[in-house]
Parts: sequence; C-alpha cells; structure tokens
Amino acid sequence: MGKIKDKFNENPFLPIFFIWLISLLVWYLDITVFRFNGINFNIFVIAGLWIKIIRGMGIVLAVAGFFFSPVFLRNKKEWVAILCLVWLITLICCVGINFGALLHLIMALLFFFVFYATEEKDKVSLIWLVFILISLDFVGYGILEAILNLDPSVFSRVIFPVWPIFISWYGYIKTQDSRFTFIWILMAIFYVFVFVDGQLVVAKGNNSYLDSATIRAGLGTLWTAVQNMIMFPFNAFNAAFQQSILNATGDYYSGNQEQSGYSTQLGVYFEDTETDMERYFTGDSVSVWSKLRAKTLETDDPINIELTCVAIDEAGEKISADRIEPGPNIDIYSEEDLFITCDFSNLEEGFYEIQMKAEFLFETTARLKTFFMNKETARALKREDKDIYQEYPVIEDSVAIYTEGPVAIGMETIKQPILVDESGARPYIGITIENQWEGVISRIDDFSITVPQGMELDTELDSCDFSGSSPEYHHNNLDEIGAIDFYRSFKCRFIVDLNNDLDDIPVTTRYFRTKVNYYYSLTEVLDIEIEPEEEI
Amino acid sequence: MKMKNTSVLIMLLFILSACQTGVNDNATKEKIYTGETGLELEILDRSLPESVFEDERFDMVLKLTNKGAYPITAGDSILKITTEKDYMEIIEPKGSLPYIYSGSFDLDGKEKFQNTDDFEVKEFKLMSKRLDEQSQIHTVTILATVCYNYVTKAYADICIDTDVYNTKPIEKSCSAEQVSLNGGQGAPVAVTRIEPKMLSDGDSVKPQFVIYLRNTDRGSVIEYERINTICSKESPDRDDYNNVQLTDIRFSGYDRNDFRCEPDIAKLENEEDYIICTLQQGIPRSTPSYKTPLYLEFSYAYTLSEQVQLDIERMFS
Repeated sequence: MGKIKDKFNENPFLPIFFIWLISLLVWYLDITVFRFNGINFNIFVIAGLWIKIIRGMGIVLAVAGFFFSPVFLRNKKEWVAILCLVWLITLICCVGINFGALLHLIMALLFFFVFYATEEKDKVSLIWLVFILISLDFVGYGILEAILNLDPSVFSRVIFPVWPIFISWYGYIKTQDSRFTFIWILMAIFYVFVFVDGQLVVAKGNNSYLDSATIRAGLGTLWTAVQNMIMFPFNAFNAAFQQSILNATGDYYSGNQEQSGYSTQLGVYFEDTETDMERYFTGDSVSVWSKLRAKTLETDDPINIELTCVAIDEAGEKISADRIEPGPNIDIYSEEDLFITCDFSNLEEGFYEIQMKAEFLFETTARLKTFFMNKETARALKREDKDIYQEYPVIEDSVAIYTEGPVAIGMETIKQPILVDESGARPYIGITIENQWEGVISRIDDFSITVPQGMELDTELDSCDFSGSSPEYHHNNLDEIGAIDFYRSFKCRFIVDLNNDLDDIPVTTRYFRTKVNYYYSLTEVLDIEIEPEEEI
Repeated sequence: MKMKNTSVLIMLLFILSACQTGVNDNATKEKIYTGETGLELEILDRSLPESVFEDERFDMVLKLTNKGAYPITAGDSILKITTEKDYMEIIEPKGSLPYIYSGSFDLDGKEKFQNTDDFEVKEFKLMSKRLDEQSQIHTVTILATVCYNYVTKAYADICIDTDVYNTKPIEKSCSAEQVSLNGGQGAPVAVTRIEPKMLSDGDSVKPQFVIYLRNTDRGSVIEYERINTICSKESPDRDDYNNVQLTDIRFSGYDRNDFRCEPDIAKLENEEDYIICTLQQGIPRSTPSYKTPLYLEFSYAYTLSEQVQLDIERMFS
C-alpha cells in the first residue's frame, strides 16, 4: 500500500488520467455497445421486487458488516459509510446486473481504491462521494428525467457523462496539475463544436436505451463534426485561396440573393425527417416521415416533384418503398407543406440506409443592372478631373441579384459604366451557376441569357456556346453541362452600338438577365436496424 | 417769383423722392441678387409610395424652383425624367419613349416686383411593370435631370485709386481694397471676391480686377448653350464642362470692350477659378480717387440631377 502511495505521490497525474481515459472508454462503450442507461427507475415501483431486494440484502449486509467491522476500519463513521456503499452495490446487483452495469461498477471501484489507497485523509468523505456518484450514475439520470421532465437532447448521460466530467475535475482539485485544465479546455471545445451538433443527434429521443441505428447515425454525425472541426481552418483557408484564384482568373462571378423578407424560401426542402418507431424487429413495417415544404411564384407552372424512397442494405442492394404517400409525383402550386410517408413492409434483419429523395424542376432567374455612357462624356469629365460617380450618382457598382432557390446565379461584366464610342463596345458578361443547397443540380433543362433590346450576344466565339437572336439566347449544349455539384461558369461577349442602343440621356440603364431551369435533387438519409424478433 | 418758388419746390421734392427710390432700389437689389443656388430640383417624397405592386399606377410630383435672379425660359432648359425601361414606364405626360420624359420649363427670376421664388410643379403618372419570373422584389431608380442656361450678375463697389502711393497732398476718398461678396448673387456660380489693383502706366493707372468665381450649388457647370449636348448621349466637346464665360464688365462708362481679360473663360476646376481683367485704357492720375459700382456678368449652363428609389413588390408572394 505504501509503495502505491509513494508512486501516486510521485506523479499523481498519470493514474488519474488513466482512470479518466477508462471513464471515456466506458462512456463510448455505453453508447456503441452496451447501451447502458442505469436502472430503470420504474422498477422500484414493483412491490415484489422490493421484498426480494430487502430479503436478499439482509444476508449480504450481515457478511459485509462482519468483514468491514470497526476493527478493520478507523472509525464507526467510516464503517457506516462502507456499509451504505456495499448496500448500494448489492442493490444494483439485485435489480439486475449486466455487462454495462458491471463496467460502471468496476470503474467506480477503481476510482475508489486508487484514492482510498493513496493520500486521502478524509476517507469517509471519499466513500460518500463514491456512493453519490454511483447513485447518480445508476438512478440519478432517471430520477432527474422523471421529476424535471428534461429533454434528453439537453440533459442525459450521453450529453453529460458523470464519470469523465467528475474525474477530470477531481483530478485537478487533487493535483492542481495544469494538464487537467488542458483536458477541461479540450472537453469544452468538444462540447461546443461536436456535442452541439453530433451528440444531440445521438441523444435526441433516446432517454433510455439508444437503438443501434441512431447510435450509428449519431456517431457518424459525431465523426463528421470532428472531421469538420479539424478540417475547418484548412477548408476555410483553401476556400479563401481558391476564391482569390477564381476572382483573379475571372472564372467565378458573384451575385446576391434577392432579399424578399419572407420567412418561407422559394424551392423545395425536407424538414423533420424521422422514423415512426425507435426500434424495429423483423416483421415490423418501417415508415419514414418527412415534411416537404415547397414554394414557387409561378402559379401557372407548378413544381413537379418526383419522390423516391429506397432502403439500401449492407450489401448495397436497393429496396424500393412499397408505398409513398401522397404519391411518387406531386404538383405544387404556389406554396404547400406536405407530409411525406415512405413505407417498407418486408425488410429483413440487418442495417439499412433509408434514402428519401425529391427531384424537382425549378427555375432561378438573375438580373444584372448595367450603365452605359458615351466614352466622350467620360473623357470630358476625366479631363476636368470630375468624378463620374459624383456627377452621375445613379451609376453604381452593380451586383447581380438572383431569386431564391437552391441555385445561385452570379453575373458580372466590366467596371461600370460601360463606355461606348462610335465604334461600339464589346464587353464580356460572365455567368456562374452555383449549387447553394445540400442537394445536387442533376441537370440543366434550359439556360438562357436575355440581353437588353438591341444589343447582341457575340455567338461567334467558341467560348460562348449560346445561340439565338437578340434579345434571347439559349445554351446549345446542356448535356455537356451535366450535373453541377459546386458551380459552373460561362462567359460571352456582347455587342453594343452607341447610336442604336443608348437612350438620349447621359447614362443609359439596362438589364441583362439569366434564366436557368434545372432538375434539383434533395436526399434525406436515415439509418435503421431491423433486429431479430424479441422473445417474450 | 411765386411760380419760380413753386417750381423749385416741386423740383426739390422730385429730387428727394428720387433719392428715396434709390435707397429702396439698392435694398431690393441686395435681396434679389443673393443666394448660392439657381434652380432647385425636388422630387416630393410625400407624393411617392415607398413601394408599389406590379402593374400599379402611381404619381410622382416634381417641383422646380428658380431660387436665383435670372429667368429660365423654355428654350434655355431641359428636363429629363428617366426610369428603368424594363420595370417602369411614364404614362403621363407621354414622351417619345415610354420610360423617358423630355421637356422644358419656364421660370422667372426674382425681380423688383416679384422677389419670391418662381416655381413649377410637374406631376407624372407612372406605372410599374411585371417583375421577372420568381422575383419577389425589385428596386427601381427614377432619375430627374435638368440642364439650363444661367447668368450670374454681380455688383460691387470698388475704389478707383489713382494715388496708389499716397503722393498727393489731399486726402483720398478711398483706397483699392479687396471686396468680399458673401452669400452669392442669386445663382449657382458666385463671384466670391474681387481684388482691385491699380497698375501704374506713366501718368495714368490701369485698374485691374482679379475676380474669383466658385460653383456654390451641388450640380455641375457646363458651357453656355451646350445643354442639348450634356443632357443627351451626344459626345461633349473638350471644353464643355466647367466653363464660365465673362459676358460683361462695366464701371464708370467703361464696358467689356475696354477690358482685356485673362482667361476669357474661367475653368472651374475643383469648382473654383479666377479671371484677371485689366482696363486697357489708363485713367489719369490727376483724377481724384473715387468709388464706383463694378458690374460683372457671367454666362454658363448648369446641370443637376435628383434620384429616388422605390420597390416593386409581387403581390401575394
């Protein structure tokens, strides 16, 4: 005992850190394997069980009282505390021990013996502390949930595991080692960046036992969140770098989304996708629900949404849903909220990824305000050292405005105003189609540019794959564009004539427009497990 | 004798009454030729809604006020109202194009018997057009531009000091000193100060005036009678901006032809410039120093614009 104490006093950080790591491991096993969630508090309501427990405990306590008598212990207070601890452990064992519970008890006892055997002066307090911690671990969460009706996504053992949190704090108190401060900082970061996203998913709706599919999904989200956390600075730097290159090379054209001020965005999107039950057994019918919100302004031209639901098994085989409500094809006029249900009736035992996919044809338009001026006017102003923007405040650095929806359209041209002389002007116009939602632009159905009346798009250039006549031009090769995951840019020149295209005013304002009709697909994914039928 | 006395009395009364009228004239002149603006252009906000729906008619009221002392005739003025072709049109009054109104206005300057600002209110009926597909809101700019010819007239009492070095035994009535003209002359271009100098030329002195000019309004000075170029898409000439032409300078019987002015046309770069005018013919030193009113007249054109924005919103979005 003395040697252990000496070793402990030499370097107390390592053993406490080791116990902390074990507590983390136990927490991980709780979630992933054993689904340990303490003792169901309702069990104590069953009167018969109480009698069994009390009867069985009498013998155990008598034995314990003999071995842990005041003869072996320092004082009566310690003896009472030990007896209570034994009583609690016996009670837990009587109610029904499983491997998860055993692990928790082992960890509690490990914690107890390490501190009891070392420098603890107030051993009675330590015993009561362990008593409280075990109580909290096994029944505390259940009692708090039952009394306070707490949301498990806010407070549960998954969110606040008692042992890792307590050991790191206690370790710091006992050793005053700054490395525990570092552990606390790590935990805080973990809470902020990971738990908020990932662990809430794990905990949501699972205040008792977590089903494996949810655990898998939750851990998947956790892992993604961790990856994101690690990769965030790199990605941010990379994005900024890429953006600067794109801006420099002129291959990316930006725009701003129209600020309508309405709460519902245009487009189609899923909300609150969930399964009808937490656990499934063989023979159960699986239903996946989701709210589908859709809004369009084109009442004459509804949004046609094609819904598909598939379950993908572990071998990668796709099983289509037996029933999709309200049907695989839906037309939305104006604005609607639909409740979508996908039913699978004969899924065999195993893990499945349920994919709920909505593909719809949608339209996004963009406009770019441009200003044209006689080059001689600009020269005259320059000669007089006059600022064009002060003389004609109507001229602004215009930014393309695109309508709401899953796609962003950026448009840019040369610096405003566009100066035109007797020989005309041939500035460029660049367009970027960018996917700004989490789905995919499956394909482009129509892509057109409308130039101001009188002006022409120079379709002779190879880089400009458009055809038509002023004012509307359509892209020639939509198949070549294909699906767009991120963005795609296009560039053309247009021809302006001073005498025909400009108004008889110093500054002429004109709009360029882009219209893109595209198929967009959104996918919601849920993981489920079909368990073998439970024996009753 | 009685008849003679009566005539003398009448004459005296006449002279006195003439003196009285002169005092009033100066006061009125001061009131008329004051101010640093010419035409004031105002789109009355209260006449415009903050936003309109598609295909909605609405009114816009424009107020043109001549705050200066010089009249603006229809032939000397251009008013243009432009909207965004694709989103708005002007229903009334009709122009050659549905989104551009081109007209003129006729406003008196302040006069002896009319010392209030003459103004004209023009009412326009506009109509919003349809928004683009899937678009819910769009901000439109309406621009009003005026171009007008104008004149600045300035009066200042200056001293023709024939005894520059104070060599005469008699005390002179005045000496050549800088004259500051604060508050403008009821025009967008103001003469801000005059620095008289008496240049020795043998037995005579040649009065020289350094005349400082400044654009005191918010618009731009342009060459006189070039309003049709500046208020259109036409190519302006090299010197169409900032030019102010001295059209008259007078005192004590001398007129524009008696002066040599450098430069002949002031260029208001950075909104300021000066002209030096020298009387070519000397005034004999034997003439006693005297105070006299100097009259200056400058011609130019002026342009300014006013804009207003309003939103077109889609109904039932």
